[in-house]
Amino acid sequence: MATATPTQAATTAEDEAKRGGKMSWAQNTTAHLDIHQDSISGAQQIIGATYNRLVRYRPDAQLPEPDVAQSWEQAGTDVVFKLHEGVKWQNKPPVNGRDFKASDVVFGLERARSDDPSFIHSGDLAVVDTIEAPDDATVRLTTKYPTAIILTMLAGYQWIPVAPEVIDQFGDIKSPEATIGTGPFIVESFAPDFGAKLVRNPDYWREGLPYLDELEQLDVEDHWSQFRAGNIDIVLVPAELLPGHDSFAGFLESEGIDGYVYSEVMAASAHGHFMNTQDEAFADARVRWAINLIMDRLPNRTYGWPIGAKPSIALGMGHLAFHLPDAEFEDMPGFGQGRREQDVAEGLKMLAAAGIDGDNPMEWQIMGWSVPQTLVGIDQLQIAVDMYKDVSGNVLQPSELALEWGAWKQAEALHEFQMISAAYSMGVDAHDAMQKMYHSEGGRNFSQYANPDFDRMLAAEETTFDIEERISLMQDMQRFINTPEEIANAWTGSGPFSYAALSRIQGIPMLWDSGRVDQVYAQ
Amino acid sequence: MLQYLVGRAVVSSISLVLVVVIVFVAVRLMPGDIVDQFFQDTGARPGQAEALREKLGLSDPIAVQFARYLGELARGDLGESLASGRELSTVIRDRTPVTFQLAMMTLIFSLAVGLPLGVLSAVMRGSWLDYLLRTIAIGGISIPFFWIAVLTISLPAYYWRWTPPIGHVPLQEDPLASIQHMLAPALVGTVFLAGSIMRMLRATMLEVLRLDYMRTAAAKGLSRATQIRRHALRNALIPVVTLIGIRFIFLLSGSVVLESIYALPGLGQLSLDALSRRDYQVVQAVTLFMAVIIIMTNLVVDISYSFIDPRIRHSRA
Repeated sequence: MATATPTQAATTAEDEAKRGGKMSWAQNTTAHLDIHQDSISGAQQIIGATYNRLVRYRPDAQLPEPDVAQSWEQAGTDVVFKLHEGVKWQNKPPVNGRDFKASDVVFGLERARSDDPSFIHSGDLAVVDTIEAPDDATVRLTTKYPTAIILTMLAGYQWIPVAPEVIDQFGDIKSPEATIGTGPFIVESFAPDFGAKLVRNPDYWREGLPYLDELEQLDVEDHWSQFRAGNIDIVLVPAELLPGHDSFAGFLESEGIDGYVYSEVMAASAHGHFMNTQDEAFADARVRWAINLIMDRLPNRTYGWPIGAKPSIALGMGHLAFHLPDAEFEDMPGFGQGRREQDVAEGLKMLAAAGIDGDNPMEWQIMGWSVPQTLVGIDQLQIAVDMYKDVSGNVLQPSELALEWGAWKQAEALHEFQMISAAYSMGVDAHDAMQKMYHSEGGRNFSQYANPDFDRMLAAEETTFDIEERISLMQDMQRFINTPEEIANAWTGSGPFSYAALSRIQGIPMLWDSGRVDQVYAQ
Repeated sequence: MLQYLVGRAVVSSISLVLVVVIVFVAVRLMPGDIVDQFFQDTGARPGQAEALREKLGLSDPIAVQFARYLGELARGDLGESLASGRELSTVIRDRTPVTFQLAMMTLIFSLAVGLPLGVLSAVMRGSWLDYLLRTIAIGGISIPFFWIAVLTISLPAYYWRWTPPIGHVPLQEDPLASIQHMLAPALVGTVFLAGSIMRMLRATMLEVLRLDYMRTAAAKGLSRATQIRRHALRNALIPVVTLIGIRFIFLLSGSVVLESIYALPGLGQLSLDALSRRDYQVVQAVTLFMAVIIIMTNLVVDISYSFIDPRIRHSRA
């Protein structure tokens, strides 16, 4: 199982934790706080600190553990949750600190999976059949078929309970006044393009928590400068500053910052080149396999993750438990650094068989984002273009197509591209990642890969509850999609996202999961 | 004067109609829409994106959307943000003070610096001080102000672990803190604007100082200060006022950059985000609002000529 360990211990032992203080971080704000109706990335830190969910992620892995659910029993299609006693809504009108009930969970989940298309996450709970509250302390959730991943899915930030009277009064939960949870912090203010201020919930149901008095999210640019100046306490270490350093701790020391780095925070995202199988250029599987053999994965991977990057197929570092063993990549065509010459020669031979050679080079466009960005931006495009030309001796002659964000997202949605170079988030669960990227109806199946056999493998894995067996099935799927016949995406790999924190703040959870921000304290 | 104002009102109305049409069409010509971005994290289930477009009215023919928009405008309704659902009249009301405060502070600082230095440079033409001031002014105009803005954050952060205050405090809440937070972006804007004002004033002052009536004023025995203040400066100001009008408009519309760098939640930041999100309603509303402000500013500038130069007042009469 993948674990996350800080390079300098950040303890939350009760005798060391102090009360009071403030923690700030920088994050681009979203347009509103109704996470049922917006993408998760903008509001997740605020929502995580304000609401509890039935289950949350474990501190060391993207696996579920109880949150407002004290326990659960899963049998077949039924999952029965028993709720904690004494959970109360925050003391804001119209709920005014009333007791939390199972019907609030039902109301929240039913709202989130509404047929109204504005509730954009509803597809993720398509497997759910019914949600009921037999009594105030019990939630019974029934799925359409036995599914092993439902608990991990429910740990997502978007599956928050909502008090019905809040919707009656405000109509939605977009405004700070309507953002009322059971969590450790209360939203005091929120403004798009500006940030948010959250204050301690004095009636929080987890006794003695939270330690901090205040949280502050700032919508500022140049996060690293703000961190250096001490205006924010936690920051994602910018990859562009890392080259030349062997370790994150060494990097921070060289910057002269009194802080510590979470050096192995798992990144559930991975970089790759996504080939549109319906485009003339990549319709021939021989060409796709040749690309897989010829591409040198190191330049792109190490540019995005200068420290600690690993090769991967489809799954990022966040799902290492389901990942193929590191050693297997050494012998895998296209991946093994020891077999580069052999792979390139074979790839060129395969291209020649498809009619592509020095006299008839292959030209295509690699699409991506137009900003300079280490993971997904124009820099990655240029690295890829140069790499293909150099390694293939100009038999492959791609050009870059750098698009503005909105144009890129449309081209993706409409499959109007030949190849994408990008890093994509791989979801909350390994199954979720594979389903979205490779299932014939997957929401992020950019390459338009479709194979009923693969869909069946995915369905079998989803209904397997034994974790070892699930891991084995997941690994089989990764091998399956990386064969000459099935290849669609050529993955390069990923590495850890590393957060740096100032020493004055301790106890920051490994995944910077704001659902656990009640553990954080200021020295 | 009344006839002049009526004429200007007619021209302004035509300009506004053109702005409405051009912006409405132009934002829809941009590839992608807000629905693509809603589903960027998760992907849509089959049919969901289309259903959402229909709900938001984005699947209607563009002519139908335009007719609906005109109907809303006719009722004085700017519509709602597609992203947040907030009333845009409220959003613009909340954001406008930030942008105006930045523009006004920049303008006041620029006038306070640019006008005296422009006069000084003209009066001391050819001196080392003149050369120094002109060099500084050219530097201020030539160096991209966004670059200076970025440096004002990253350099002190690197060397002294300090940055200028970031964000915004409303003026009515805490005037001193509000001005403190706005100081850095206003000074960066001043570097650019004061240089323009200084150079323009110097050039027009030099022209005026060569004219016959200045010699007459000197012959009458007026002090040098009175000659400059009463006869030279006033006549040299007309092109400067035109420049200030143009630059003020630039400050409003160019607020995007400074607001982004200094995390100021103003109209510029709003429209930049809206463009990125493809929130058509917001882009349309902000652009229309800015167009009205720009037209009004031009009108004020034109009218101010009459007060500065009586000849213009008489010719319009």
